[in-house]
Amino acid sequence: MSEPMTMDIQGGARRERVRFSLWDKIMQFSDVGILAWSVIVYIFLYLPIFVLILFSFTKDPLGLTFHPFTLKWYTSSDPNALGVIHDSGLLHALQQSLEVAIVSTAIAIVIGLSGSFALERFRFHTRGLWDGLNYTKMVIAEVIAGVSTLLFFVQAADWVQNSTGYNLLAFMRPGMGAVLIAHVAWNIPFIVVILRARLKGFDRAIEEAGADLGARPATVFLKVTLPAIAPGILAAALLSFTLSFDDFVTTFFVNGTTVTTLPLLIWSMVKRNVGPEINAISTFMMAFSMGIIVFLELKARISEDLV
Amino acid sequence: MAGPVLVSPMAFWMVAFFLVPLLLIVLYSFGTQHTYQSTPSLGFKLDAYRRIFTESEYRHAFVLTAQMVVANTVGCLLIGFPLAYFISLKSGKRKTLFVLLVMMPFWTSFLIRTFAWKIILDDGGLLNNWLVDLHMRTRGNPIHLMYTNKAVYAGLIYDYLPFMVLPLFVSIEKIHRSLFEASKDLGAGKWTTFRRVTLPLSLPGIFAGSLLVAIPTTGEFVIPVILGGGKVVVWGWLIEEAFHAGHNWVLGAALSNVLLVFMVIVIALYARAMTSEEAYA
Repeated sequence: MSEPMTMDIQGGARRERVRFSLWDKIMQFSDVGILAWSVIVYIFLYLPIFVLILFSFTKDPLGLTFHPFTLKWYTSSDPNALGVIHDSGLLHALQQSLEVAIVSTAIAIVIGLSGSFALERFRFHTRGLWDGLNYTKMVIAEVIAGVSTLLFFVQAADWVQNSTGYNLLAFMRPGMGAVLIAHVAWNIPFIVVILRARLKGFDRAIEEAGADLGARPATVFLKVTLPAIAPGILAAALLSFTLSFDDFVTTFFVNGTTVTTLPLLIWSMVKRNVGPEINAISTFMMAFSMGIIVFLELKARISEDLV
Repeated sequence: MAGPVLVSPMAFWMVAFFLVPLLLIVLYSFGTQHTYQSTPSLGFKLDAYRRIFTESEYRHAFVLTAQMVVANTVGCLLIGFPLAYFISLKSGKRKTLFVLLVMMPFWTSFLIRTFAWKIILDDGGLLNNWLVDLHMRTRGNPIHLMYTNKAVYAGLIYDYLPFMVLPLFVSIEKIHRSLFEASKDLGAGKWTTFRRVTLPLSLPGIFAGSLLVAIPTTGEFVIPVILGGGKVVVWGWLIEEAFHAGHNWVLGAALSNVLLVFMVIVIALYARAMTSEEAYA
């Protein structure tokens, strides 16, 4: 604090007086304040998650106080309160969640890859439109996307059935087909953002080298471009998988009566207010998502593409 | 030719399954709903809008939703800015780790993360038990947080914080470090440097983050339902009810449309603020 309260600064021909305000003095301690604040925010971010995991091992049937320590919410075979591993409804939901996440990611990644190539490598006049549509889809309230998709699917299926006499668009009626279509649309913009960033940082000289050495464009793409952007594709696929796997709102509107993914199952349980069983299921689901991410991070260092 | 060909699958998907449905709700909102039939007949009726603009239920929901959007955006900004500042400028070599720590919760279902707050905020929950243990509160006299607006605000800020912190971090990260030194050399104190250098140059991040938080919050209904019980009725929930409970698609479409217009206004305001800011700079 040896700095003077006021000081003169020689700025060319101009002389200016800079005064240290009260705020400047207070801000001398800002580093400590910011560090403390950040610690609190990190606790804020992780406290609920830790509490949830902890409370999946409580004996309290209401799940509100912590009486250690039981595994019964995971392993119980009592038919009135089946543990996670014996709950067939839960396993069915997990299966459907995986199906939705894997299939929609597989479709979206192909469409997204081709789209990001077009947007990043070529100049054509509708480019801005597709860009804008993607960004709109990303930020728009999910409830609107969900509702409008439901309306459109039912209307289109009805219209085709009434005008042709055949239920040609049956797959678009609320159910698995509709969920998959909606999830692909939900995933594409996120995939495109990641892949475009990857393509931007891509040194095209290696593609030219491939072409100069006599490779055809398809060979250059398969042997040079694709391997080079593979980590980006993996990161994009992972993000898409997780978005799909955890998605609630979009699925909620187009699921019909046949599809119950894990988030939908958890939603119905939350509304019925069942105790630590939800904590156990949630912990199970988080462990599942986290496990995949940690595995891929260790294997492929995907974080470089995501940050 | 290659560009349009390569973009066509994506263009088809986004137009057919996002843009056209969006236009369809505009059309539907002027239609007529028939009982025992989900799809309404089209026309030009303003009944649904008349109902929305006259009944007090909708006015309350609208005001509440607007409050939530503002509270969530401002809350995330105030809580997130120091954190982004810390990660970018003060976290040293472990920067990537700190960014990842912000992103990690995003990789778990927000439904679950929201629900977790119930364990903490419930009348018989963790927070109240702690307060009893610390003799700050008696057992029969808990702080009511669960199923109030306060719980909903906590949940909203909690879930949306990463969307604010990441753009803020990116824009602070882009500020050339020599500018801080230049400011210091010219005799500016920390506050002056923050006010004259850091804050103006992180405005793009503030705008982007605010948009990423504010826009989705307008239609948020999961957090208000889980943490607010039936007591916190927001616009998104009215839309959901019109479809699932009321089977009134025309009303639901009209409600969605109002929300859409509201979102466009918010975006336009931001865009305007941003351009005037650029002109000023």
